[in-house]
Parts: sequence; structure tokens; C-alpha cells
Amino acid sequence: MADAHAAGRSRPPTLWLVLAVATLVMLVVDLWAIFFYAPVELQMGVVQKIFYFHVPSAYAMYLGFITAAVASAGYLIKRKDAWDAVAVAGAEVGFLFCLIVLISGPLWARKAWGVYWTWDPRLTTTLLAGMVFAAYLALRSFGGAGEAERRFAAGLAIVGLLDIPIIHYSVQRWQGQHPTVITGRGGGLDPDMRTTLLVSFVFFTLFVVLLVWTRARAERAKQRLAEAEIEAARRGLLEDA
Amino acid sequence: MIRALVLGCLLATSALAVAAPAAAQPEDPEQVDPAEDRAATFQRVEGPVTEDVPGGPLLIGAYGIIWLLIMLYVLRIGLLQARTARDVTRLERSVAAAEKK
Repeated sequence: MADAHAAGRSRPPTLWLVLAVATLVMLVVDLWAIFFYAPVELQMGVVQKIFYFHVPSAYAMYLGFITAAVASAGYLIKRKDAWDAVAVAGAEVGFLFCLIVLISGPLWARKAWGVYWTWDPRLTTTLLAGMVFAAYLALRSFGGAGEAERRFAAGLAIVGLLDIPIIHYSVQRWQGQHPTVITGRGGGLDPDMRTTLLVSFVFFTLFVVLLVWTRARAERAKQRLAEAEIEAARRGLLEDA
Repeated sequence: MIRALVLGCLLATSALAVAAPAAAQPEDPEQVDPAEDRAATFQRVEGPVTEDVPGGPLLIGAYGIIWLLIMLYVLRIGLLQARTARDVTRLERSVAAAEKK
């Protein structure tokens, strides 16, 4: 029953606690920077402050989906449950931030463009990525925990990864209405806005790592518990349960 | 023959081009369709400029929804961990009871 102990009772590692505290500190710094340090934008007014969570959320979505795809590839190669747990965690966290992007973007667009939604290339491809990973999560939730389902879901996550460069470069390739203030040529951001955005990126990086780690630990614990239950049943120890 | 046809076409086209702007002008300015007039003019705002779409509620709504989603997800992870710990306890009790027999 060592697996069962490891599943439910293990204390979080010290590094996890350090990461959690650092994330909390960065959250406070980030919120202060967004609402008290960053200037109000000339054309759009205060609604532009959605930018400091909207853009890093898109970046967090990329991180989550890339983690899911890489871990899925690892699972298909190694067939280790730990890879599968990381893939589930990455897909869930990526989908969470995809939802945040798809909700915060239209609220900003209502002010900036006059409409909540338009079939702009970047918006459409982001919605497509969200639908692919929604299918992944639906398959993992309702498709059973068999090997075939896990392998099919892993393939789906890898296919979903193909959409990430399309989202990123859609603005450059197909124009559209989506702004492109962050470019390789330095962008068009006020220095104080750029500093605030940088702080947001640091916070979101820590937050994504913390969420994926925590969720993967929970998934791994669930897997170990299932293994322990199977082992106990095999030994005939669960007849009265 | 062909040269005469081409010359005729050119003359007719030129005559139409000269006559078209004059034909486009309405004979009576008061007979202009009001819908056409609305579509073709921009009017200045009289008095102080106000925003049609207030940004504050959109900003508060966006951050409110973002934090609600994040809190719900953290709660989901917490519930998953609590359920796993409960199942571990149940499994240990079952195994302990079976081993006593």
C-alpha cells in the first residue's frame, strides 16, 4: 500500500512551496503595476488594461498546450503514466487560459472595435485550438481510462499543437483586425506599459508552472491510487469493500 | 468599316462621359432620398464628447470573469486532491480489515 500512501498523503515539495510564495508575490506586484503604475491608453482608455492579462493568458495557453503535446509525445514513446499525467495537466491549464483569452478579448473588442466578436484570423484560430483541446478533455473525462483512449487523446494533443504557430503568425500572414503591438522590431508600447507587461509575463510563467505541477501531482496521485486498488483487488483484499 | 465603328464607339463613350456627371446631379436638392443622405454624411458632436461604450464596466467584467475562472479551477484541483486522499483512507481501511481476517 506504499503507492496509496504516496498517492494521497505526500506533502508538497519545498520547491513547490517556494514557487507558490513567489507566484503570490508576483501576483500582488502585477496587480499593483496594472492598476497603479501603467498609464491609461490614449485612444481606448482604461479598458486597454485588459491587455496585461489578455496577452500573457495567450502565452500561458501556448505553454499549456505545448506541455500537453510534448508530454503526449513522451507518453506515446515511453508509455509511462507520469507523462500522461503531465499531458492532462498541460491540456487543462492551457484550456483554462484559452477560455480566459476568448472571454477577455471580446470584452476589450467591444470597446476597441465596436463588436464583441469578428471572424478575424487570430480569433478564429484561437477558437479552433480551444475546440481541439476541449475535445481532448472531453475524451479524457468521458472516454474511459483505457490505453486506447489515452493514446488517441495523445494524438489529438499533438494535432492541436499544429494550430499554435498558425495562431501566432496568422496576424502577419492574413492581416485581420487584431493589433500587433508586440513585434520583433520592438513594438509600439509605452515604456511603462512594456514594464507592466513584462511583470505580467513573469507572473503568468510562474503561475502556469505552479498550476501544471499541482494538477499533474493530483493526476499522478489518482493514477497511483487506481494502481493500488487493482493490486489490492488482485490479492483479494477488497472483497468486503 | 471597322475604323468607322471604332470611331463611333469612341465618340459615343466620350459623349456619355461628359454627360454622366451632369446626369448624376439631382435636379432638385430637396428631392434627395433621406437614407442616401444619412449614409453619406458625418456630423460633429455638439457639446462635450462622451464615450458610447464605457470602458470601466468592461474592465471590471473582464478581470472578474478571469479571477472567477481561475478560482474555480483551483477549487477543482483542491476537490480532486481531497477526493483522492479520502479514497486512500477508504482503501487502507479495507485492506487493514481484510488482513485482520
